[in-house]
Amino acid sequence: MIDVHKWFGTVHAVQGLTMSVQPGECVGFLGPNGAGKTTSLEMIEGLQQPTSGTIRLLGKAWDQDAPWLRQQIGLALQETRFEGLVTIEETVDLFRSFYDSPLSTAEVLETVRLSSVRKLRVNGLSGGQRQRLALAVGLVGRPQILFLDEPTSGLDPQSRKALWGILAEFRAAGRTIVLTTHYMDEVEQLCSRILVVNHGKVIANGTASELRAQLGGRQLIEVGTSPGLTQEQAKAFPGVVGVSRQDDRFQLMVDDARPTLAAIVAWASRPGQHLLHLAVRETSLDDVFIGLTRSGGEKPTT
Amino acid sequence: MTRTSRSQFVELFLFRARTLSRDVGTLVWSFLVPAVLTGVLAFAFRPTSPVPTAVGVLAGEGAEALVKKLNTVPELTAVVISEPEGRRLLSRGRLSALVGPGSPHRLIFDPTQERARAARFQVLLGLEEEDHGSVGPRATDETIDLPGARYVDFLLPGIIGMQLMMTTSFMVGGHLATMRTTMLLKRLAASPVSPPLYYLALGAVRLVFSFLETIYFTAIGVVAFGLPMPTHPMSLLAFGAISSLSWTMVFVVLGLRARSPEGYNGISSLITTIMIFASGVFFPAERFPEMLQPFLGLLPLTALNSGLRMLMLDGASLLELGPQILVLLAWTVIPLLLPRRAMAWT
Repeated sequence: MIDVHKWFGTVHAVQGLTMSVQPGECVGFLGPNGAGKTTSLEMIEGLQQPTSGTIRLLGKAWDQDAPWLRQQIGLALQETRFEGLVTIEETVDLFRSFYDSPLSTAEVLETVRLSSVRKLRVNGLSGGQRQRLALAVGLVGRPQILFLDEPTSGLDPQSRKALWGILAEFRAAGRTIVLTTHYMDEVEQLCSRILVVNHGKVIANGTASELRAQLGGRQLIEVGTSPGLTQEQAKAFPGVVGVSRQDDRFQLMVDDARPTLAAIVAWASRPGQHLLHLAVRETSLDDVFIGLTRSGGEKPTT
Repeated sequence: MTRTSRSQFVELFLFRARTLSRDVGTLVWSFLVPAVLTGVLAFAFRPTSPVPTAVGVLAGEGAEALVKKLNTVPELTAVVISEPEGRRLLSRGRLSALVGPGSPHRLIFDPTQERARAARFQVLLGLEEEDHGSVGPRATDETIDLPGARYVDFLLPGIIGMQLMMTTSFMVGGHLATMRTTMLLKRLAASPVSPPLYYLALGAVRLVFSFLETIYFTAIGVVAFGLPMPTHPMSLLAFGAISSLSWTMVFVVLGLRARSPEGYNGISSLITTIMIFASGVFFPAERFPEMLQPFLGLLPLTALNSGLRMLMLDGASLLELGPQILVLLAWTVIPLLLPRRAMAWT
C-alpha cells in the first residue's frame, strides 16, 4: 500500500497509509476502535476502493486481476454470520466450490478441529466453533495470504489458544497472515511485525521488542503519592527514561527498576510524604499501545 | 407497585416502544399501508353513476331487433354476440345474461349470481314490452352453473399471482437484505464466486418453488372449489415461471438496496400492498378509471393476474398471452439496465 487514503463523506478514515508485507510474514494491525484497521484491511482485500493511493497484492492490482487475486486469498471478516439452517459441512462445501484447487472439506474441517461436529447446523454452534468455521471457509481455497479481522474477538482463552494453534500451523507452512486485533498477547504470539494504526495513520511499525523499545524502557514503575508528584519530580528520579500520567499515578519507564525504586522509597520516607501505590512490572505491548494511541503517536515525555 | 417495579415497567415500555418506533417496517405497516390501502379502496369503490347491466343477444334471425328492444329498458345494455363468445364473457362476469332470439326466447344465466338474477328481470321486462298481449311464456330459463363465473373463480388466479409475488419478495429480496446485514453477502463478494451464477441459482430455486406453488394452488382450486382443469397446464407452469423470474429481478434490486431487513420489509410491503389492490387480486382492476388502465396494465401483477385468468378460466395457451409476457419480460430486463452499483453486494 502506498499513500492510501479513504474518505467516507467528510470523514478521512485512512490518511496516507503506506505499508508492505513480505511473504511468510504475519503482520498485525493494532489500533483502537475506529482507527481505520478494518477499512485498511478491506481495501487490501479488494472489498473497498481507496479514494487515492496504490494497492498491489502479490504484484497485482484489484482493478485488473480481481478473479486471480480472489483465488489467492482467504479471509475471515469481522462478524460474518453464516446461514444458520445449513450445516458446517454444507457451508464449507459451498465456499469450496468457488476455488480452482481447494482443500477437501474433510481436510479443512480436520485442520480447524470441526470434523466431529461437521453435521451440526450453524445456529447450534458455540462462538469458538463459529470462528473456526469462518477460518475453515478462509482456508479452504489454499490461500497464499490469509486476512483475519479480529479472529478471536469474544472468545474464551481456550478457544483463542486453539485458533492460535491453527494459525501457527498455517504460518509454519510459509504462508502469510495479515490480521487485526485488540489483543496484545495475540499479536505477540502470532505476529512477526506489528503496525499500530490510529486516526487512519500508521503510528508505529516494528516487532514487539522494537515497539517496546520505542516506549523507552524495559520496566515500568507505577507510583502514587500524597501529596501528588509533579511531572518534574517524577522525571527527576534516577534511571527514568519516560513518564506518563494516568489519573493520580505516574508511570515511569526505566531500564533497571532497582535504583529508581530505592530513590522513590527514600523520597517517600521524608516527613509529610506518603506512598499510596508502588508497583513494578515488565513493559507490555498494552503499555506501548496505550502510550502510542493516547498521545496520538507521540512517545511518552522524557 | 413499588418504585423499582415502576421504573422497570417504564424502561421495559420504552425499550419496546423504541425498537418499534425505529423499525421502518413496523411504521410502514402501522401507518402508511392502512392509509394507502384506504385511499386505493376508496378510489376503486368510489360512488359512480349506476352501470347498465350488460347482456348478450345470441346472433341469429331477429337478433338486431331484439337488441333494439332490450336497449329501450333503462339500465340494460344489449349487444349481439356469438354463443361461444357470449358464454366466455358470461363466465368472466363481463355479461350478466345471454338471450337467444326465437319464441320463446332462451334466457341463459347463472342464478347464483345476484347481477344475473337482476339482468333476468330486466330482460323479462324488455320482452314484456316487446310481446305485449301475447299468451304463453316469453322466455325459457336456461340456468347454468359454469365454473368461471363465481367469485372464487375470479379470486383464485389472483391469489396465485399474489402468492408468486409475495413468496419471491421474502425468498429473494428479504433473503438478500438479511444476507447483507449478516455480512454473508460481503463474505461471498470476497470469494471468487460468480455473481451471475449466484443470481441464476437464486432464480432457479425460485423457479422450482413457483412450479410447486402453481401446482398446489391450482389443485386446491380444482379439487376444493370446482375450478375447471387448465386446458394447457404446461402453459400455466411456464407462465408462472416467467413471472417468477421477473419478480426475482425486481426483488433482487430492492433487497440489495435495502439497508436492513426492516427497511426492506417496509418498502416491499408498501409496493406489494399497492399492487395487490391495484392489479386485480380481490376485485377487477377495471374498477379504476379508464385513464389509469394503461398504467395499471403495465404493473407486473396486473399482467400476471390477467394471464393466469386467461389460462385457468378461458382455456388460453401461452401463445395467446403476448402482451402479458411482454410486460413481465420488461420487468425482468429493466433491473439489468440499472447501473452496476444497484446490483453491488458490498
